[in-house]
Amino acid sequence: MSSQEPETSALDAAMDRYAAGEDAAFSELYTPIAQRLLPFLRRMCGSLERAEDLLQETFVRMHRARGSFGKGAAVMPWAYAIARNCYIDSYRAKKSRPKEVSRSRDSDAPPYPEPHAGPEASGEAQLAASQMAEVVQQALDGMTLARREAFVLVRYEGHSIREAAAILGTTEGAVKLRAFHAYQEIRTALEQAGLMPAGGADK
Amino acid sequence: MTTRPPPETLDDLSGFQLDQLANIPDPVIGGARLPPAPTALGGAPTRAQFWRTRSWALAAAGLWAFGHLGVRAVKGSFHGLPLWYSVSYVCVPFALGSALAFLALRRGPLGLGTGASKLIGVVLASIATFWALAMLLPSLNPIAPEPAGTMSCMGHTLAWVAGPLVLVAIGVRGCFPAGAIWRSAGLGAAAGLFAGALTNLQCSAGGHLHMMLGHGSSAVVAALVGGLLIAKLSRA
Repeated sequence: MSSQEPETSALDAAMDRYAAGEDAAFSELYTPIAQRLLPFLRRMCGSLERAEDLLQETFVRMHRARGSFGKGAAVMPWAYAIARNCYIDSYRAKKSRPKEVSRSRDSDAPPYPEPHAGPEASGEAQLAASQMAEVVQQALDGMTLARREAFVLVRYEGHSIREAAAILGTTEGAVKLRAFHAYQEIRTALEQAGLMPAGGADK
Repeated sequence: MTTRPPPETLDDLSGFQLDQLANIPDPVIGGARLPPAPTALGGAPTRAQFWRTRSWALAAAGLWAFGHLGVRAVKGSFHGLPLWYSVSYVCVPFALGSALAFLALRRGPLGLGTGASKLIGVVLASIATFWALAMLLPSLNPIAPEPAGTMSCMGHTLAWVAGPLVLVAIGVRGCFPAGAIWRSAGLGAAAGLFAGALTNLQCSAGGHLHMMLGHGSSAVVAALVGGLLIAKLSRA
């Protein structure tokens, strides 16, 4: 991650200026932060459309809370924590509403715009990758929120257990346990779909 | 959109086989165009404005507690009390409450506050210490007060703690993006410990149960108020 350090420190410095009241710094913050938060939110909610709405909400909340951003603090864990709060609020609001017919996915596009394999891959490989991605997302959708967020942060967002625990406001032990259970659930789903040999992921 | 590689530390997590997480494919492959940045965000307090509000509110909450202690000291409430009583029942809860408030408010290494395990441990240990002292130390007065006396002390202590809790709620509004529940519970417990200590100073009536319930329940109630109500306000 050392190659990202200059980029990260520039981002932290921009957030510092934004917190101090320099509104123009927002333009430096939006793209790099959104590029990381949009996939996170998309993995959490399984819908690009909803993820985009949540991203907007996250930036509105970041704006409102900018004064509380500590001088010299790291902006990315802070932004992830706020994005997670937005998702939780939306998740709870959705739970309290009458159940929808099906989980909302991207209405005008397939859920996974690009196949798992590269563009040169055969149609068969692309289909298998697409099926695998769908099974993983369904497994993520079906598990508890606590497991899903721990797994997504650690597996896909590249956070250490310590960072994930800080973002989730829980203990490192809880993050390890939740991520492991999530992994087991996804592995079982992949095995049942015939996309992973039984016990294949174990050493 | 890219998937970041799982951190190397996953290999060290023996028992959970988290090193196998990398075998799970990413459901989100391929890029999506970023939506436009939100416009017309409106006014939001800057760091200076935010800290001004936070500083006066938390300073007022601190002054409420330490000011009362100072007034009691000047009025001679410590006179006639054995040293062990003053230390165990007043100084220790004040020290624990101060440590709790510090831990709950501190920025922490990632800017997201003290680690949850540490905070949970200190909140529970502080309340347990207050109760353990009430249980284990001898009573100054061998005659335990009537239940009505215990209820009166409880009401008095809870009434006292309401002021600092309101000030804390103002001071930490919207500033905890993570760990809001335990950080707010920590601040609540701190206020409850201050209240319990001041009641210990004011009422030295004997009885372990009286000390635990009449004086010590405020820490539990205030921690619950913090964790359940203030946390809703403090979450960013």
